[in-house]
Amino acid sequence: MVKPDELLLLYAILEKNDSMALAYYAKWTQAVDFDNIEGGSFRLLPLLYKRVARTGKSVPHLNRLKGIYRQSLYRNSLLFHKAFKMLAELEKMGVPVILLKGTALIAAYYEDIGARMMNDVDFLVREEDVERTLRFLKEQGWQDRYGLLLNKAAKYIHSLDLKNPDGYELDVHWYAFYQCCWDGADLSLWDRAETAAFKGVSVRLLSPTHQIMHNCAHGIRWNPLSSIRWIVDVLIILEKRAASIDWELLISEAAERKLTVTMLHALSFLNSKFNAGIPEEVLSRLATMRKDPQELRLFAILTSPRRFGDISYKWFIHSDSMGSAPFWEKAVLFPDFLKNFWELQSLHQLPLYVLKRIKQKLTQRRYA
Amino acid sequence: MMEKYYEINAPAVISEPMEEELVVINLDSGCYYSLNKTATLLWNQLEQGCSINQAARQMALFYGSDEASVIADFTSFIERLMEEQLIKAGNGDPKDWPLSKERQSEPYLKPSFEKYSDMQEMLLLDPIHEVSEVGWPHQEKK
Repeated sequence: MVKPDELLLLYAILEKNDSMALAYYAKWTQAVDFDNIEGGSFRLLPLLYKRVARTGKSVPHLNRLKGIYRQSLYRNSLLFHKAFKMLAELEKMGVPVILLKGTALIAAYYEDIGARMMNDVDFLVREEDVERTLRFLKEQGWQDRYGLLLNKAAKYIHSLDLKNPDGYELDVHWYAFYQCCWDGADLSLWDRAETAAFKGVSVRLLSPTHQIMHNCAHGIRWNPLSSIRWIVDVLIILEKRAASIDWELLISEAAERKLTVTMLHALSFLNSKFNAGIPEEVLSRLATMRKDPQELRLFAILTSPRRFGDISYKWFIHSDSMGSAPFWEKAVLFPDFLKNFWELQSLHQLPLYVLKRIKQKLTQRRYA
Repeated sequence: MMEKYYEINAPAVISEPMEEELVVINLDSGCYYSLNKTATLLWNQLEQGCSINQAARQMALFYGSDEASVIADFTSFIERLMEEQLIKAGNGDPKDWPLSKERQSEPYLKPSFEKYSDMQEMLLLDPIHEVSEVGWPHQEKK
């Protein structure tokens, strides 16, 4: 799940003792080629800079790390500025938003705009606000990365990536969890949402319990870029808000959302490798809960390398929606499902559209 | 002489201290500034509501330098900050004595900043392979 050099990097960032942190840093620099750092590790370098700089010692690569932090600070500041204007407009229209992922973590936990690299600003709107949110964003020049821009909330997906002409990206979610796309799935998230002030702006955030669930569920997915960020994210939530975590709620919602396997896997890992202090009783209760076969299948799909993009995930959704229909019937109707999923006009557009997506994914991967 | 006061042009302008350097970003223009130590101290004084004269007096004491020449430096530097729309005229209300009253052993340097204005270039600049020894945004000389 986490490679040995990634573990060294994580320990260097998370270690409280200065000399131990520097020792991990030294081991990490020996284990990697600084000129060819893997994308997932690269995203943690601003945090590594902050940790190493705090020791006051001069270490190899310090100036380059400082530069990476500066760039992250610059990029995130511009992104926040652009996105927050947009989010303030949505709030004025009566569309409440909850910040998700990196944006929320920076605002409420890292409290340092450059500490965590971000590619986009993620936020959640209520299901009933999706259409007008997308309409408004389209009017403001934000477009679907694949050039389609959905006019209505897709039934099976949880979010949509949008890009504006200046290259900034927004990720609009109408369901917070990609595994939980059903009516009313996020009502408890809205009920328990918190507000915080960040850089003079009032923002709405998930409760710490939901924040942990959300980061575990997203982080544990297989990703072409190693997604080790979720580990630091969840540990900082635990460190800052331990007393506010409602473990009973986490267990019951994990069951409702069919996330027991995910939560068990993620939280056990954090306890075993990072002494995260998650109550053993929580883990044993998650371990003994009945595991839904559908959840086990989805977990296996989402945590395995995806050679064909998200196609296995889409097949899972399609197959699941057709229940006990014969395999051949599911297979015959799958192209039609993809056509509807991507809102294409006809089946003839499908091959070209798939090629376009593959090309786009490959380009993104190259520059990620 | 009438005292002149200034304030940071927030929210369009943000600043983040990094050791002895201050990073200032104009979010509307995308320009990035790196302030030297004296400019950083002056920026903090302006944030605290000091006038040019108050700031210069404190700085002259801090460095043991000539107050009149510090006032002249500050006046021209503040004009540059105004041109860049990083600060605007404000109402003076000093909240604190921002500088230590102890004399510094280092020499006084004129306040200055480095400006980077090509946003696209800065965003695309590879911070590992295309930068000089001092790191992003300082580009490697080709």
